[in-house]
Amino acid sequence: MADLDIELTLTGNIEARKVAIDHQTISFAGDGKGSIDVDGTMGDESNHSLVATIKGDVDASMAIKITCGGIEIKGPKTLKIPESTAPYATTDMVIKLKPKGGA
Amino acid sequence: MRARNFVLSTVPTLALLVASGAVQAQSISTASIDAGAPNGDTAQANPVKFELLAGADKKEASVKIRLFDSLSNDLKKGGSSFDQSRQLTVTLSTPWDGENDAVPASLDKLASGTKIKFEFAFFGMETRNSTTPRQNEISQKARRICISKANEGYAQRLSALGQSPIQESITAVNKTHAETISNCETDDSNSVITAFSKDDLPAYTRENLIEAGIGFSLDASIGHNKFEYIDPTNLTKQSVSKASWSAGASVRKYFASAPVMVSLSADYQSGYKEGDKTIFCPAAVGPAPVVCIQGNAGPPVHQEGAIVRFNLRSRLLQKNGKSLLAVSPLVSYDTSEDVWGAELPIYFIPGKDDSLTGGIKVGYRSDKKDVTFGLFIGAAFGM
Repeated sequence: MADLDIELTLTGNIEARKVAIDHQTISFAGDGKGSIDVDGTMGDESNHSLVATIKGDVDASMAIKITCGGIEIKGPKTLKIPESTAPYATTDMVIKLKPKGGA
Repeated sequence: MRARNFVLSTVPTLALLVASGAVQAQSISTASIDAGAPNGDTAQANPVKFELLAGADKKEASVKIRLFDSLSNDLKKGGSSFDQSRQLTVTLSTPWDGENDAVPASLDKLASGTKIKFEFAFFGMETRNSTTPRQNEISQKARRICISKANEGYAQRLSALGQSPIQESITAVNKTHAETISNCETDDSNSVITAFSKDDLPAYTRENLIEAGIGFSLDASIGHNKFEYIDPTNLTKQSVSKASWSAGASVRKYFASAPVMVSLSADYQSGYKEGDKTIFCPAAVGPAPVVCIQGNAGPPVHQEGAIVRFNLRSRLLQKNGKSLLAVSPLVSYDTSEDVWGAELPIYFIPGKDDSLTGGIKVGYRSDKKDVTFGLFIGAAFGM
């Protein structure tokens, strides 16, 4: 198992937010930090799905940073609420268990 | 007649409340500090947070304390989660001239005009924890466009190198191309759709919503005012302190299928209104000139009443994702005076950041039985 640490930074008025990895909703502490165990080990380059959603004011945003064993594997990726989808924004991405930018 | 002035002074403020995006129940003060005030940034659970809101234009200084502020998620069966927030705030506000210190209270009493407000707000929505086939279709389409444009750019850059390019240049172009293709394939879907298939972003976003959300809020406030007036019986200046209070509740619902929000709110307000400004002159006695005094005629009059409001908000988007048109019809009813009013603001004047900040507004009041029509420019339309 690999332990992923996720750190959220919220900016602006956000009324609700969700980050799920491999279909599991992640719980976050007051400092915006949460963690989840996923199948695989750091460096095995296995793929894992991430879905994130926020609800709030236009231009409010949520930055997502993911690390594994202290090594950054994704982000910070910022999800921002645009006028066209307000008051919501959502995204999905594939995260690989390998260092960010690594070959 | 006593409550008529109250109705007249309250109903016109509804437009301001709608334009400012405030859907919560408002306190008795028409210059509520929450109307248009920033809610500030949020974290997952702030136990206590202070915000200082002050502005000379509002002639009011305020301190907002978040006693409780949390964001949480509950996993539901079927691969979704219920995402919610709860917030409890206390706001202390007091009159301020914008220059001297604002003093809401001294050791023995509250300053006139000081108000304290408690508010609890809840919001919850249900969202999917995985993408739907429709979302995958939209993101794959955007990624194909991204790759296609990357290949076009690659071909152009290669051709720009000329007939006999040096190997370093070819290597650099190839490296850039590989990175671009990688970004097309691995960047998050929202970013790729925004860049290459913006028309599909609203559909992609709404696919994630199972229950777009429902929110409610409860608030209560109490204020203190000192009134000065002239006693008409003996033309002496008098003063009296009165407490006013209000309580309100509101509920709002969003819809997953369309950008629509409906809200229903009710406010009960109990306060006091000053008498009309009047010039009093004593009866002339002899040849001496008469000295007149001006002030409020008589003590303040108690006023109370409840107002119920129903509001719907919706907008129409252009192909480029900017708002084309937005409407925010509002119907309000004063239960104590049996007076109702209706407003239909139609936003179409663009502001900055793709928002709509003005348009035309049609209004009607049952007591005046007339229809008003005019242009308006105000706060950006929001949902």
